[in-house]
Amino acid sequence: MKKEDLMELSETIDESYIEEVGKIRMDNGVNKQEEKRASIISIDKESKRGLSKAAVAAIVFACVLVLGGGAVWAMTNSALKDFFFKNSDEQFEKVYTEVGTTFEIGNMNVVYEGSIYDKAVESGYLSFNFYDKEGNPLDIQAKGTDIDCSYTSAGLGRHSLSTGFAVGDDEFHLIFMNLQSVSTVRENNNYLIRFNRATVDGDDYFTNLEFRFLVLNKDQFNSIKEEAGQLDSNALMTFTYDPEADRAIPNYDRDSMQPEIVEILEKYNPYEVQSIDAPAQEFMIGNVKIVVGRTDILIAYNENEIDLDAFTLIRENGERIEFTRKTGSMFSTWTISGMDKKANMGGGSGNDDGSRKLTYNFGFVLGDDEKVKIETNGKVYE
Amino acid sequence: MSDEEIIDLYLKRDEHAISATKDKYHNYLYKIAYQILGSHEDAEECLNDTYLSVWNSETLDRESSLMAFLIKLTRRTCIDVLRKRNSQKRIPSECVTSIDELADSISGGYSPEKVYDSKLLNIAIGKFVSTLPHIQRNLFIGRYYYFDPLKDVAEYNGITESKAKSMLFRIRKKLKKYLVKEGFEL
Repeated sequence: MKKEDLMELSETIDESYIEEVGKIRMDNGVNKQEEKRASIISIDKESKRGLSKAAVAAIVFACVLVLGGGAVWAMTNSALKDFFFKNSDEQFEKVYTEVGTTFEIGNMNVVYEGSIYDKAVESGYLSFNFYDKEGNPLDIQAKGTDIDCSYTSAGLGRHSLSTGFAVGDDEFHLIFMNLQSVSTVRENNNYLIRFNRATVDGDDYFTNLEFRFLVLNKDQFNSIKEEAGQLDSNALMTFTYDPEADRAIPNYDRDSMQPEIVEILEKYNPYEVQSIDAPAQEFMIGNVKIVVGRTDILIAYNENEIDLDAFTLIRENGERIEFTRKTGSMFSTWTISGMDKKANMGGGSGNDDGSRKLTYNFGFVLGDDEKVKIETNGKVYE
Repeated sequence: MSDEEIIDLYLKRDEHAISATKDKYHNYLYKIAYQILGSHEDAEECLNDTYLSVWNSETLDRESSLMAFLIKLTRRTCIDVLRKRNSQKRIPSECVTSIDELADSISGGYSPEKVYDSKLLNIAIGKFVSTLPHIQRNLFIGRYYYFDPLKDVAEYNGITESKAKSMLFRIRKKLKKYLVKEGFEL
C-alpha cells in the first residue's frame, strides 16, 4: 500500500471529531512555529532570487531566532558542561531536528535538510547544507568519523558518536545520539551523514528511533571528551527496548553513576527517523546475493564459495559504478570505483562459517522509482 | 464572519465566499497543507485548488461544518498532489513518520502483496475511532489525520510527549486487534 493510500484511510472519521480536534488545534495555535518557519523559508527562497545579502542575513538570523531558541553551539566551555549536567531536559528540547532547522555555528548557517532511512539495507543518511551568513553555499570538507567511546559516557548513551567537518581552518563536530555508527560523504553542497541501525532489540525500536545532534566547535568538542574521560563508560553499554513505553531504556547501574548523569539518562528519550518504503531490488548472481536499497547496497556471500569477482551497477541515468573484490589474508573486501573513500565503508565482518554480509553506501540516494541493473561477465541482470 | 454566513454566500453563488473563507481559514489550512506537502509553493497551489473545489462543491449545505469540510478537502487535494508530484520530492518527515506508525498497525509495513480493499479498511478505521475514549480519539486524529508532530499532539491534549507516545502505541495495538476481529487479514 502506498503512503498516499494510507493517508486516505482516515477519511471516514466522523466530521464532528475532526472539527473538535481542529478547534482544539486552532485554539492552541498548533504549529505556530511551523507556520513561521514555513514563511521564513519561503521568504528565504525568495531572497536568494533577489533580495539583498543584508536582507538574507536578517532573514536567516530571524530563522535562527525562531528555530533555535538558544544557541547550544555558541556556548562557552563552562556553559557546555552546564548543558550536559544541568537543565538537560530543557536543553535537549532545543536540540531537535525539524527539516529546515538552521543552526548558527560561528560564521556559518547549517541547514538540516532531512533524513532518509533505507529499511531494505538498514542504513540511511542525514542531510545538511552549509551557508555563510550571506546565504552563499560553503565549501565544506569531511574530516572523517571520530568514534570515541569515552565521551559516550557523558550521559549521552552508547550510540552517541560524532563526525567531523571543516570549513577553511575551522573544525567542527556533529555529535549524534542513538546512532550506531556514522560516516560522512559529500554530495555537491550536501553533507550527508550516513548511519546504521542501532543495535537494540528489534526493528520496532529503530523505526521509532529519534535522533538528536549537537554541533560543536573543536574546543567544545574537546571539552566534552575531557569531561567524559572522568566517567565510567562501561555503565552505558546496552539498552533494552520497552514496548509498553515504546522506547529504549538504558541499562546501567545507577549507584555507580554520577547523579547528574543518571538524571540525564532518566530524561533521555529516543527520537524518530524518517524511513522510506521503497522496496529493495534483489539480485542473485551465482552464489552472491546483492540487495540494492535507496542509499546502500548489501552484498552477502560465503567466503568459501564466492564465485563473483566484479560487477557493475548501472543507474537509470547511465552512470556505472564498478564493484571489485579483492582477496585479503582472511576475507575479501570490495572496492567501488569513482567513490570518495569515506563512502566505501563496509559494514559486517567475516563469520566462522565463512558468511559475509557487507553494506556499502553509495554516497547518493536513488530516485523513488529508480531501477538499477547489474552487469557482470557481459550479462545484465534486471 | 460566521461559518453559517460564509456557507450562505457559497449557496448564493456570491464570490465573496472565497475571500471570506481565505480570510478566516487560509493560515490554518496552509498549516495542514504544508505539513503534508512540505513545500510552500505546493501548499499554496493546493489551497487554491481547495477553494475552487469548495466553490464547485454540490455537497456543501447549511448543515455542513465548514471547517471540517475545508479540512477534508484540503487533505484530499494534498494527497492528490502527492500522487502526481515528481517522485524525487519526498513527503515531509513528520507526515511519513505518522503514516509509518499507522502502516505498521494495518499491514505490518508497506508490503505490496498485502493490498486491502481500502474502502472497507477506511470504513473500519472510521468506526474504530468512534469507539475510542475522548482523549485517545483526539490523539489518534491529531496524529494520523492532521499528521501533527507528537510534541504538538501531546501539548494540545494536555499530556506529556512520552505519555502521548505510549498511548498512541496502545491505540495502534488496539486498532490492529480491532481490524483482525473485523476480518482483515493483517
